[in-house]
Amino acid sequence: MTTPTPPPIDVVTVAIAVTTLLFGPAVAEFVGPYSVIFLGAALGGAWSASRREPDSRGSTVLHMALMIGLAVLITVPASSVASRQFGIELKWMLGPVAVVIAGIGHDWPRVGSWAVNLVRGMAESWAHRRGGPQ
Amino acid sequence: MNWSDVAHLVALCNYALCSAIGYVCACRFSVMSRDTKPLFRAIYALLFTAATGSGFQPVLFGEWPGFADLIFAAAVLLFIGSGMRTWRSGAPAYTSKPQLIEHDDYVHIVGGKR
Repeated sequence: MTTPTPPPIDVVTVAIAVTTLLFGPAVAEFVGPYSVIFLGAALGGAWSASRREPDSRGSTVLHMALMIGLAVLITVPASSVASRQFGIELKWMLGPVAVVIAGIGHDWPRVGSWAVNLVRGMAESWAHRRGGPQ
Repeated sequence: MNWSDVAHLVALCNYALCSAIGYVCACRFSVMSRDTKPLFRAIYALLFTAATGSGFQPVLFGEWPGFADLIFAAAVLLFIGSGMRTWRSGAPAYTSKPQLIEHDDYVHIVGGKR
């Protein structure tokens, strides 16, 4: 019985294996449709990172990764809502929405507070209208 | 080594160079603030985005980088790396918006009202 030949482990072969892993068709099929969102998120994340107070490199890289990840997650649903609101095709909203989501950066808590106050105001107004004049 | 292997190696080298450019941009973001002029913030934000797009172009656009992309990425890295000493101790003064001087720090030079 012949022994199987071990796979080549020279630098070039390993490099090609790594590249196939990074840029192979399996990854491209998954990431490709998100290319516009990913690049928009990278731009927005970079902009929001430049607005922060001076900090450590690790903290800055973490901030950018978080903003890009957040944009990749919520851009499609946010773009659907914006597309219906403004009557613009969804595909044209993906890039700008991704830039805005990542660009808000560390101001997201303020955006959240504003949204909560808006909803509270609307709820109070609705309750007042439903209660009728006293 | 065939043409496909060369393309893979060039893509990996391009990815490494573009990653280095992105890292330099991230380092510069870490020393910027709201007082940094928007022009410089926009320049580095666009450079970071372009480096990301170029490094990941086989995945994002289905295009494989060539030797010209490699040489250009190396040139950009050398260019921004040449400013390493200037940026070592924070954002350089020319990148910051002019700061208002406190009234108590005013110094009367000559003439006019005191």
